[in-house]
Amino acid sequence: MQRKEKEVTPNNILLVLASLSLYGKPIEGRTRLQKIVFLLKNKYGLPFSFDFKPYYYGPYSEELSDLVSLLRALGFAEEKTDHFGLDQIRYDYVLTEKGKSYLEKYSKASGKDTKQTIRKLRRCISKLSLLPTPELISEAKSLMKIKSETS
Amino acid sequence: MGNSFIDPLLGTIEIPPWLTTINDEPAIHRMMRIKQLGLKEFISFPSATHTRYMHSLGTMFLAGKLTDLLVKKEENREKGRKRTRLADNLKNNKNVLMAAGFFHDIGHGPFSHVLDFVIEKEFGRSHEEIATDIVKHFAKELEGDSIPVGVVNNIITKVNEPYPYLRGIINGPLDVDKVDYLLRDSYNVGLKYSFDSSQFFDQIAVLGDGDDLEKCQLGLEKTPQAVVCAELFLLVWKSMYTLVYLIQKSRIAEKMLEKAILFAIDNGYGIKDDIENIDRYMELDEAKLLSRIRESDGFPKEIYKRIFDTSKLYIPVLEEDLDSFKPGQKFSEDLLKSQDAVSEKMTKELSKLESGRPYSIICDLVSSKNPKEIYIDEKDENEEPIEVKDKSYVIRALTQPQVLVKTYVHPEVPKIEKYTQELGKGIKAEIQRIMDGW
Repeated sequence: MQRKEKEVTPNNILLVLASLSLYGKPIEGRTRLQKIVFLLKNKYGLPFSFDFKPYYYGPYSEELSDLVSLLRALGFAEEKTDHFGLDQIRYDYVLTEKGKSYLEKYSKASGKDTKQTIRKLRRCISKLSLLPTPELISEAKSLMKIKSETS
Repeated sequence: MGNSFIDPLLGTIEIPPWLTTINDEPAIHRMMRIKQLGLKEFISFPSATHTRYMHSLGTMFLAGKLTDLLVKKEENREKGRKRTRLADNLKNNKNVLMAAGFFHDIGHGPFSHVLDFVIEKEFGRSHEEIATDIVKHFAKELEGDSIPVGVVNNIITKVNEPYPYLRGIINGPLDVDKVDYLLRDSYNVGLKYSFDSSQFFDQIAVLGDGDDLEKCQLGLEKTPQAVVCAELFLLVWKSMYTLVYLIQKSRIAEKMLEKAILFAIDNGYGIKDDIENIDRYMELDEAKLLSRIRESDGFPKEIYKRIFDTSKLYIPVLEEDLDSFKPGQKFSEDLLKSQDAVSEKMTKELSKLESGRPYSIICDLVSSKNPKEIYIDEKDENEEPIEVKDKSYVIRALTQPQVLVKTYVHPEVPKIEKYTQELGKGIKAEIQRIMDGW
């Protein structure tokens, strides 16, 4: 059997935690989180290493979904529920106090490049947080379409 | 071999021509000598003697059944809503899906999941990747029946999938693999947990635009029955993990066996060649692996004796939620890459406390098994898809992610029998210390 090495994906944890923190309010729903990270990577060039696939509801990364589950299992992020409509629950994603301390500790300890990346993330995510949901969705879907057609 | 088998769970299973041709090949016969539930037959569930082969036949059968049902749904749609391309694509791929169902577990080693980490650690490969090599070996027979080997392998490994809904039938949150193993395993261990697979399949739908098949996904119908069927399915899934797959005694024995194999490989007892060489791997069944362990000197032989005298198994001394620890950056990143590799490294560090005894303390990080997102054929006011979880607090409760940190200690670690609780506290502190310096 040939040995295969797994790709190392540094900093994804720090960048997702920073995204949750810098968004400034809870991120409403899993698909919105997926679209935000997709735009941060593909529109603004932030170095997330997730691979996104074009599903019928827009870009989706299984690796990002796994990472969010891990962050929740570690107690760094939590999913808050909000009941709306007749029979629907909405899930909002927020950073916990434990997640904030981790982010603070490792952002401070990180190298020059990571600090610079987080500064860029702050600028980009503040733009995304101002976008109304329909525009955010439409932008992510259009960019995914362009990427699929050109790949 | 006739053209059908009787399965106690699913009734008559018709055998397709390509399988009739290759069914007596050693790689396929080996699945008849690999137990579906590993050591559970010897430790906790004496009736769990069913094999990977029966599960593979069952998965193949259910893949065909679900595909037929999805085609029928498309054909029964009213005019103007028919998705002809989708129906044709499903029909054309029925045999591909049945082959992927049959072969999806053929790369498993003896005692099924016991060997998963050994193969990952030694060769950086998963059992699904090994399966693709074996499938290629049968290219002539499969392609003779118009089954492209490349597509079968893409479905098994989820790599370069052309149509996500096809992969979802075999390898996704609502796949026929889970339906077969949950029903088959509960039936064979003697628990009467069940759900109606036909009714469950009735609630499965292909979501998306029929002209854009590359984006279509498997999900659930927009019906109250779909939510209840999903709740029942997940409840059985969760219960089987807690009460069967991860039940303590056999889990400890499986981790002990894994460590005995790793030790045997590291110390040149010959098992490495049995795994490294694909032809020899195809001959490695459970009896052969156990005889290798039994014939080894020292630690592996000792472990063999302990596994089959269950009063001498390792003793569980700690079970803590990972969120009660403070992991550092490197530890968290490693955990994301491979939980089993982190467990192994932690085990080796903890075992240094008992110098002279290899694997004296086994650390086992166990994640709760949760499905990926399951979508319903419904959208919200922003045209965003709705998950079944958005409709059910039961599903939310069943899908909370959790990682448990467990440790099992060699029974001859001093004072173990009297002081397990104190030892647990000490080990917890030691785990945190190791995480700090990771």
